[in-house]
Amino acid sequence: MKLPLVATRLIIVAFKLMVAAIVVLSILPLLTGGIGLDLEDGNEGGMTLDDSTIHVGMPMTVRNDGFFDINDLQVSFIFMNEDGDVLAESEGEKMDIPAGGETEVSIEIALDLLDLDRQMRSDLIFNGTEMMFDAKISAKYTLDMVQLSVEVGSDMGWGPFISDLQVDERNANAVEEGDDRFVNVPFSFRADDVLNGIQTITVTEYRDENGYTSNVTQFVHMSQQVNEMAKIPLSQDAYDRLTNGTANATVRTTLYILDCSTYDEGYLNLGGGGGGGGGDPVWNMQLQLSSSILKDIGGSYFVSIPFSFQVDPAYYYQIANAFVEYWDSDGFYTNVNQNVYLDENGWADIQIWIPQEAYDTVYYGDQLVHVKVTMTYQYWTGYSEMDYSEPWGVSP
Amino acid sequence: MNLGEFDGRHLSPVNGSVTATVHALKYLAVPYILFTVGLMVLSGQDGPQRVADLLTEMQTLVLIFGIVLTVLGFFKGAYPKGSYSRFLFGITASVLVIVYVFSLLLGGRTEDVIAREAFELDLYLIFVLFFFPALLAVLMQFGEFADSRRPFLEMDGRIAVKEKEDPKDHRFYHDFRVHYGSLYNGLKLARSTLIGFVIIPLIVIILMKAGFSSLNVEEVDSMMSNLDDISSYMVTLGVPMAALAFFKGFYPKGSFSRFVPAIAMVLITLYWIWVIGLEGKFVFDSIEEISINLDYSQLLLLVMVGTALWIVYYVLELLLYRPEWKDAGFPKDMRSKESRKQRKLRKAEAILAAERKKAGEEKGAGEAPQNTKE
Repeated sequence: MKLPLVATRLIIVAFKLMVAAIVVLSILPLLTGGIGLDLEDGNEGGMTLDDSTIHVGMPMTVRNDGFFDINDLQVSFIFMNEDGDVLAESEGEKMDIPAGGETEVSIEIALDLLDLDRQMRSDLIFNGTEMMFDAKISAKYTLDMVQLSVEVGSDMGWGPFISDLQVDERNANAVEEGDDRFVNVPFSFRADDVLNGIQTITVTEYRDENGYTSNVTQFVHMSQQVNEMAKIPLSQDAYDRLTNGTANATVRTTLYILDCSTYDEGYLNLGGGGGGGGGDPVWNMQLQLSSSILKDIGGSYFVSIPFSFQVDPAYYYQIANAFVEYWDSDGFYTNVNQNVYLDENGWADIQIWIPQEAYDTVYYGDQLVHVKVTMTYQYWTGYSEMDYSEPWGVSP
Repeated sequence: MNLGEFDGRHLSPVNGSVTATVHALKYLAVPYILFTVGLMVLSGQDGPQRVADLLTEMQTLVLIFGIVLTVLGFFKGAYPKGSYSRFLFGITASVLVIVYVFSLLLGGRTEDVIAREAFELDLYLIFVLFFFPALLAVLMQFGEFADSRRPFLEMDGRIAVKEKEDPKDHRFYHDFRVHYGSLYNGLKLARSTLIGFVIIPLIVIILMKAGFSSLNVEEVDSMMSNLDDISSYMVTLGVPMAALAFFKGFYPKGSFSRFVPAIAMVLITLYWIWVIGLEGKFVFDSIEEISINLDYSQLLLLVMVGTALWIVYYVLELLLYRPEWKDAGFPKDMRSKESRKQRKLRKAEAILAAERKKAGEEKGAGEAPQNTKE
């Protein structure tokens, strides 16, 4: 063979060997574990809130024992709602990881809450929500001739950051300070660690049935458990109505953060009478129709109506009266009166006998029934009512 | 057929021994050693008996066919190219190789055992793929006979030596004349191209598909579909490449008829690399919610640049060999079969012819002024 041809062949072979060497040197560290990411247990990232942006830091160690530098390593995130609409994007800095060692890198997820629409933001802060996110890791390797990108899509549970806002109207009290009159209403809520130390605003508003209103605004520093007292100034007349039990007042605490709000309210009746709160013997009465059952006893039919309640310990072992009313969609109506024992269990199960037609209505059809239970103890009365249309179980 | 060509005077024991050794290694020693090693590994690891039985049976077949092919190889190599005797032994050996490989399937039992021990593998499909290059190997015997018959008869003194073609009458398009071609070289290159660009990739794909199917995982479905696409590309590109390779091998070095298919082959090879390299992009998104994108197009382009250098090679080959081919009177490309002595003789003849030509020109130049004077 002629020399120029031999030389050309040798150049081709050398070129191919060079490419093969590049490929082998690129793949080898991947196969032997020379390149990898380490997320150490003690290195878990923390979440912080900076103005309106949530930052999640994720420190990791990138091992590159390969032969080539890893260039332009970038981690980015896209947050989406359930419909796949992009809510926020977060793009990390590009980093170079030189060959032959370990490099500490900090991946940061940043989500500006103000980028979310108000409803989404409100859900995220007060209720917690699932957000879809796409994480993308991209990098260049092998003298920038190979570009790798890994995309991972997943759901991520966020929040709630503020929960359990409760107005403790039962422990509200009216106070006189010289000529000034106030009602002190305690309220509480929980805040996630991410909000620790951040100041928020609460407005507690008093309103009675005469149309009198008053409110107080407070700056509250958030912590894991926040217990605050709203001191609402009252006029003498309003104060009198409240203390003699004719105010029928409500109190509402509203918490504002990042242009979103949540509230809780309670019924104030410091002077006695009416239902719910302010020294009531029974409160939080609720029908539990999901636990109700139908019974067929040899051609006689009844339905059990369970309900729950909470009892002030001062009234334990007393007898209250429960008046249960039952309507179905075919116009059938019946009621029953029964004594209820007030104890710490706070549970009663009232049986109502019904004719076969009424039994068939609820057993064979998905018919709507309406149940109302009214409890009475001395001066106190409270009620709970409920529509129910689920198929009811039948016990023989 | 001239039975005299089986005569002992044509027989060269040295050449026969060389071919017999090659056959013995290829068809006897290597397979026998492989099966023996397989048996040793099985017995060492207390492997399944049915595999051991299968390997023992295959060893017997290797012994029988290997010995017969070695003997046939001796006679094929011993007789000169272009003789009926070499042609007969050569073609018998080529056909027997097909029978040999088919018999190793043991009527489907080999496939059954592989299916039981590893995964379902369509060995008959692999045999069909093997059949095409094996058929070309049979045709190569015809090609060798056709190519070498005239030189053999010339050497035997049975026909007159063909006169050299006058280069003055040759135009470049005459390069495509069939009588310049060597069937053997063409078929040989077509066969190796078919094996390299179609048969081996297809067998690898069949093995990969069999392996993936045995995993019984839904995630590999898209990858299997990709492999199907690549298979069809291998056939679509590989078969025309094998056809071009035939013409490239068929025509001698220095001819345009070799240069054109060679360049076309390089171009198709570049496309072949691009296709088999998945256009430099590998996307794996079979696992729910995870997608891996690998863009290695620049690396692939680097591989293609290396392959494209063959264009430079073929241009140089045309430029360097053309004068030599012309001076030799446009013979068939049979240099590879020339002995060292013959090669030296041919070169010396070429130098002598060039000197004669130069002397003639000088003489002509010396006479011309005299005529002018007259």
